[in-house]
Amino acid sequence: MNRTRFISTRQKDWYRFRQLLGRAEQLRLTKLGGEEVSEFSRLFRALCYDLAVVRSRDWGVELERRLNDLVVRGHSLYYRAPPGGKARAVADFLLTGFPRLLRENQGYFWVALALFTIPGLIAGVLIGLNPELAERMMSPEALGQMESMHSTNVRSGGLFTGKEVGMTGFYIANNVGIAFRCFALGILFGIGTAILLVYNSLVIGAVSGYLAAKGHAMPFFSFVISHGAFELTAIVISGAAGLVLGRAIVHPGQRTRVEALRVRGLVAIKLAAGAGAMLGVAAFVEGFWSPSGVPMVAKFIVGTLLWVTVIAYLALAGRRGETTPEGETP
Amino acid sequence: MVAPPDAIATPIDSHVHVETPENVWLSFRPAGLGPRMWAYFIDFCIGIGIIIVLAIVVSLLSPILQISAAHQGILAVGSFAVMFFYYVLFEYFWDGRSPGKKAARIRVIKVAGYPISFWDAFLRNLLRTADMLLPFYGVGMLVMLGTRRMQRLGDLVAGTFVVHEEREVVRGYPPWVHGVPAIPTSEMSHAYQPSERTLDLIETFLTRAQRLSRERADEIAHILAGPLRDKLGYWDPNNEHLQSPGWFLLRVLRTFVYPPTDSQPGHHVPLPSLPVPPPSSSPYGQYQSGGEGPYGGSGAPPTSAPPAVPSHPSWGPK
Repeated sequence: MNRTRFISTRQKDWYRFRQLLGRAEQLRLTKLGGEEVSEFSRLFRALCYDLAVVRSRDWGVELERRLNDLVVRGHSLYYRAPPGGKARAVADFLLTGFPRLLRENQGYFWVALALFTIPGLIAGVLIGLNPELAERMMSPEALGQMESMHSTNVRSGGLFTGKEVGMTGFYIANNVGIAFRCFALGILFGIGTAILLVYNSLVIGAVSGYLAAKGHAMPFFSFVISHGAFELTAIVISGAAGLVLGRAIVHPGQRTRVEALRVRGLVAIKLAAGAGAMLGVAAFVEGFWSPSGVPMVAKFIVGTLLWVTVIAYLALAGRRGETTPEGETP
Repeated sequence: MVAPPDAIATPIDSHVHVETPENVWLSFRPAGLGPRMWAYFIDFCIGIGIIIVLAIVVSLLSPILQISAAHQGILAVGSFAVMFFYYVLFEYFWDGRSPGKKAARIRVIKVAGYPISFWDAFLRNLLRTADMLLPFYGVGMLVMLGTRRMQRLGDLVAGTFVVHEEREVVRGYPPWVHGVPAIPTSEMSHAYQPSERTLDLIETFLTRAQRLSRERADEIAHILAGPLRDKLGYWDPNNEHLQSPGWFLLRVLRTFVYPPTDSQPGHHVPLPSLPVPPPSSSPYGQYQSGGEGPYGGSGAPPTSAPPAVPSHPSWGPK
């Protein structure tokens, strides 16, 4: 068959395919009628064959490029992720996928937990025994501000002043930002993540120790306990996500580094996304509940319940129907 | 016949090849720094614009709705969302294109050639933090320059890369036919119509001859040129079939397969007229006069335009 003849016989199909493509790209493949879909798939395979023919006969770069372009568009339409309920996918992820994934990769979680608690505990105990040390870490003004802020249990004026919304927004932006950075910097061999974890740990430890030493322990801890359940855990999880990335670079195992990053990166981003969602919850608790005028006892009780909930969620959710871990064990 | 592209030792262009389940390979052109920086610039401006508009709206509304205390928080969430989710959402819902990428005609795809998923979009965009570690995406740029698909760190981890969107208008016939004078009927004494197989052979030969030296191509063309001239009864004033037989075959092809004026009956699409290549200003003119291209330069009759059109690297001399 001659090139001209080839083009003139096949052209009709190409036009038809392009027509279907145009419609499908706007509507998604699922919205085409059944017959159209099977026509699409038939034409697509024919087009792939045409492209191979044009290549093997060397029938010109221009023609090849056009067919290549059509096949690329068809390919990307044909092999996309299956359509499905997005809300359902989100719910599934939060209810089962995320806690399962975390349990599969719990080694990273324990390491991140150690990085996030040990320096803070040491700093907290030292400063609690000797409050002057706190000034080596933070300026006196910042400490003074902390002290005045946490010397009382109640901080909001009324039931709803709008300040809660403001603070919630601030907490979301700030904390989720930190968590995402903590994850992303893991790609620097895990060092970036480790530094962020240790740094935040030291600051939190120092502030707690200082306030405890100054006698504000009760108001402070009653403030922190509720949202801390979500916030502190989520920071540790985002740290774990960063460490997943870091380990893929430092110790890729049987894979090349890029391959290891690609495989483990998916795990890491899911952990980071879950941590982000937890921080979103934490921000609302921190904005509305923690500073509210509820008696301290109630805050301690609710806070404890929240801790139990979070731990139970991470440890138990999705246990039923759990299969063997997909990823490699740490 | 078709060598799988990976078998070619060192590719001379930047195309990236992906094999599909249909056993054809697709070629993609990775987008380099230029278009990506342009896209980033546009997206950056849009992001700033969104935050400014949000700030104006909030400051106008806050006295009315009594939300002045929430003002800061709303802005904080807004800029946070723009910073982290602008790209994620656009790239996910628009098949790998943010508004800036759309304007720059580039798109993010998976290295296997299909569209990115939500997690890919999320991953490659959260890792911007790491790519931005040195000023002006320094880390990202360095990594991009070192990878064949021009991926920054986020792309490497997500298994994605950014490609040019090809939307090329196609010409009906090979560019090197352009400007070749057909053989006038008055110069042929026999009403001979070359068979389809012959014409096909000529076309295939001429396509491949672009990669041969002119001498070698003429040597091969010579085998067919003589008998063909006899059958056509072409009186050949310049003794073309001996002097440059390849050129003669090209004119035959032009006469019978790609007639210059009237398109053939039954042809679905009229052959579009081609832009005339710049005669000597193009850098390829020198190659042709240097005699490197098979049918360019000194061998061709001086009356006609050089046949080789440098529209694509593979048409140029190799």
